[in-house]
Amino acid sequence: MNEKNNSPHFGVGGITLLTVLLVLSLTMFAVLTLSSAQADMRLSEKNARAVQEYYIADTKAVSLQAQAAALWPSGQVLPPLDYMQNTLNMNYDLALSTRDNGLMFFCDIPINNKGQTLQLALYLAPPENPVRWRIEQWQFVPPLVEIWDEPVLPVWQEIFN
Amino acid sequence: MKKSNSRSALFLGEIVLALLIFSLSSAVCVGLLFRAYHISEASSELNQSIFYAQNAAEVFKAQPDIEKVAAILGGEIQSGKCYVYYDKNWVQTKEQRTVFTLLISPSAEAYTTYAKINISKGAAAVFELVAAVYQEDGVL
Repeated sequence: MNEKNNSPHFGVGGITLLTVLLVLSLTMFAVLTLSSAQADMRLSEKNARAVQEYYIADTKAVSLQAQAAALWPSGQVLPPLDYMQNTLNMNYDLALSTRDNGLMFFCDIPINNKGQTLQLALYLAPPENPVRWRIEQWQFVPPLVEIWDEPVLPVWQEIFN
Repeated sequence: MKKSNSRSALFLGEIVLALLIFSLSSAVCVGLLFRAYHISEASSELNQSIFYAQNAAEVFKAQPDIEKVAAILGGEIQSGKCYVYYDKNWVQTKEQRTVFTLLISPSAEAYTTYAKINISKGAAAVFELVAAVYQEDGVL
């Protein structure tokens, strides 16, 4: 009778089972916390890269403004468009046209390789104007999604009489 | 009686083994949690740095005069550069109590003024970007 009273309450193996359960749950929560923190960090790094890429594109746009203004300094007539286009020699699409004695610049500066661009429409006034640039568009444009004009579904065409 | 002793010894051994396994795994888990905490802190610091750097960049683009930028951001001018000091909670503070430092270094070319914006924690750089703005004369 005494022997029975002195015997452990859980029995052999119970403690091990409890420990295994505790260890498993503790490890699971620790790994989940770590993976969540790492995911947050990856997101922050992506955000940082996106912001830096945007400002690089923005700086390229300002550089275009500076180069174009330098090509048409005060006291000179508007240089030919071909000359402007070739001299600016930007590594992105640039279209020029004349308007109101000045020049219009249209270009899409790529922000990254995902198709995001900085779309510009800028007007360069003649050198005698006190303010030379007028910004008509300076816009972040997300990548275009292909839209089907006429969706064609493979439906059965036969008509029963 | 012998049977009881052997069972007690087995039970004691099991408890000791369980405690050993539990303490080992606890140590590993505390290590993982500590690492997660540090990654989370770094992530939060990076997010805040991006926000403050963008804010400084847009202030500069709107007003490309380093003294005016310093006045707007509440910074100090030292040898032509603007320094803004923040404590660990990103509240503006004095240089002696700084944890994060926002540094704006301007430079100019013809028709363009640049600002290199750095955010650092101690000596370590956290985030940086370069902002540019067109200027008719291109001087500060």
